[in-house]
Amino acid sequence: MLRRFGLVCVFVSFATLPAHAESVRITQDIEARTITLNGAEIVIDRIQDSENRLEGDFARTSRPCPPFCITPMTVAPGVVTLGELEVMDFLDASVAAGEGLLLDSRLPEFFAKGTIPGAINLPFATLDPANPYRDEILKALGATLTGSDWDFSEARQLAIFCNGPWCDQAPLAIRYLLQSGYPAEKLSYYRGGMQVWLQLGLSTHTPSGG
Amino acid sequence: MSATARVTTTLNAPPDYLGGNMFLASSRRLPEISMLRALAIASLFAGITVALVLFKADPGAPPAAEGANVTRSSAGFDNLAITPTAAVPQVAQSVPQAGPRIQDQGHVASLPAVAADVDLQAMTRGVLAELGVTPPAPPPTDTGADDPLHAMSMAALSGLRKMTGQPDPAQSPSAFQTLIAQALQAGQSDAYIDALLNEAAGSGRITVPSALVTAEGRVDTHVILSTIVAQAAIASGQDIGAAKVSSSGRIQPGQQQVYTVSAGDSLGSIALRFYGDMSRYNTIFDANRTVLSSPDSLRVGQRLVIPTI
Repeated sequence: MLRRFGLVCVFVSFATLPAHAESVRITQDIEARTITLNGAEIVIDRIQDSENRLEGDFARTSRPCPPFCITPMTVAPGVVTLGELEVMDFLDASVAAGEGLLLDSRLPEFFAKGTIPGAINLPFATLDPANPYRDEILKALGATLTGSDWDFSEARQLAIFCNGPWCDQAPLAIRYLLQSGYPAEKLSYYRGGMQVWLQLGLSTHTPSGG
Repeated sequence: MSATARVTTTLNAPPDYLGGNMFLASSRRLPEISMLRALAIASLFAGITVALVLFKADPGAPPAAEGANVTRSSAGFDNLAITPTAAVPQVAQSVPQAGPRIQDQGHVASLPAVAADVDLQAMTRGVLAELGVTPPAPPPTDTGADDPLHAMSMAALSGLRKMTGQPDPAQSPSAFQTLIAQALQAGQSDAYIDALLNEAAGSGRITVPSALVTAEGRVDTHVILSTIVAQAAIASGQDIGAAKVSSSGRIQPGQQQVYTVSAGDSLGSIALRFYGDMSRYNTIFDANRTVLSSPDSLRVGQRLVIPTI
């Protein structure tokens, strides 16, 4: 009798152990997020190997500051700061509906190595008012120019990120956009950036040709 | 043989188009244009004669004769092949002089607004694409400093447009591009195209990029055609266009000029003159926003700052 009980115990623990070891969910309720963007399905989940560690550049702790200084939690008044779950919600609600854009503000060579699924590359430098092509970019974001006045009423909601809390490119992009008149309530800042996204083992996308 | 055919079309073209009061507007410009034409034809004849003589003297040298015809690749584009060798430098010279241009205020009111503006570079590429010429890579600039920025901006734009489903101006030809391409394909003369574009703009059928509106409110056909010809020449492997067009007026580094707007100038023609690239008109526009409310609001006698780039 006791022996049988012991066997059952062993069996139960055997059956449940591997399932526990392999389950790395996004939240307790959500295993993965599936989002349809422009007809293409993207899946965001986490690396299932619980022994996985970051290596290379994103494992570094002490980049010189300046220029790699710690960014504030709130980058500008009225600009909301997002975490990973909010970024996924933004993709699901705003980007999928054609109302918002998730923007990777890093330079193209960084973007090409891997980015958040669903993000498009809008390097911070292209938003500099000194860039002769900036107006074209603002128009592509949905702003309209009449004479010398910008109208942002139809402009997209933007969520902007870069390499992480030690990277000033997204805050800079946001400052450039605010300078051009882009409304703060249409901007949001994902402060964690690639650093925290990778740290949590979330899915990345490597753009073709990169 | 094909040279005779081309000359005939060219000479016949202007009288084909006698559309009402448009003719009055364009006919006064004809003396200037037909002189340019005559010069172009004369130099073409001289060129062909020389080529034929060389060809006869040395049967092993056909490539030399071929080199004179820039855009041989597409048959419908043949007529344009005259212009790269002769007309481009002349067009450029005529822009700063601009004396014979008429003050036709009647057209000012009817030109479309700035709202639906298009990228000039995209427009040129669009026309060329419709003509079956592979649009050349963006022309090399002397500065080189903002080239990565240009590449980055264009890449970002194409990514944004792909995501937002906006049309890429270079890929969806505007009525303006189609009209130019059709007229060029039909072998029409510069004067004909000028009249056609102004008539179409006047009746609101096409939207003209604001940088191509002259101080008199007309369409700057000269600068459109010379840019298309120059780009076509580059596309066909001859690097004669863009560099020569602007060498006279180009500003030196570290030197900021003031330019007084003459009759016939558009922001595009001024950008072409100083920077060798009409799509840089925004640089001039941005530097002069205090005096210009929009790129198509030039007035004769205005003084514009031409920044160094």
